[in-house]
Amino acid sequence: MTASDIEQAERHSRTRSLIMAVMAVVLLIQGLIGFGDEASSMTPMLRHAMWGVTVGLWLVILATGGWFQLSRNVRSVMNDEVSLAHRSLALQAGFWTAILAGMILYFASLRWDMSLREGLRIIIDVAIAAALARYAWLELR
Amino acid sequence: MAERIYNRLLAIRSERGLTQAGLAELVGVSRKTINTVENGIFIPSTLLALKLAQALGRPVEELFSLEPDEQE
Repeated sequence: MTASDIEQAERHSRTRSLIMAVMAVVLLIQGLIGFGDEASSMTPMLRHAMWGVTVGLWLVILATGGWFQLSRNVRSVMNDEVSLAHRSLALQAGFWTAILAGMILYFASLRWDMSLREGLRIIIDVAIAAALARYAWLELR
Repeated sequence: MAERIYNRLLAIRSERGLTQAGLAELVGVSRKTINTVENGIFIPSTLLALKLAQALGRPVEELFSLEPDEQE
């Protein structure tokens, strides 16, 4: 392990946290206002595929730390004990947010009509946004 | 059960003339990890505690204890 590995890891960690913070806001807005089905120029299939890829990508990053193009040494510093502890806390935040969002939507559906797909998308977007935001906050504070 | 672990990491690191970056490099973690351990925000695993002790050339129980240091 060299000083350059540590410096690189810290720089990439900070970038990762900033991107996660921005993505949390994007997902939250997306989850709350939806894709704007009528306004979108994309075909529904493409829109669903893009949503699936985006969510999948952030789940992989939350599970593994991502940034696979970097060397093993740099990644091991980026995913050191404190980062792993932060990821664990972030995943907890995501879990509780998903449960809470699910409960809110359950009761909301008694009053408002909502498709299963819409409900699931809101829960997933908001839960991942919460996990990303928690991780970014813990890393950047 | 003790609610926190006291550590003398900062004092021993300073004695050895090491910066946080220097110790981080020896142990293979980020400076943030060294900083959070020194400030008692993060309790390291046994593995990291042993690596820190090895890097500083001290027994692990000299770095971490259940009782506060008398000088504190």
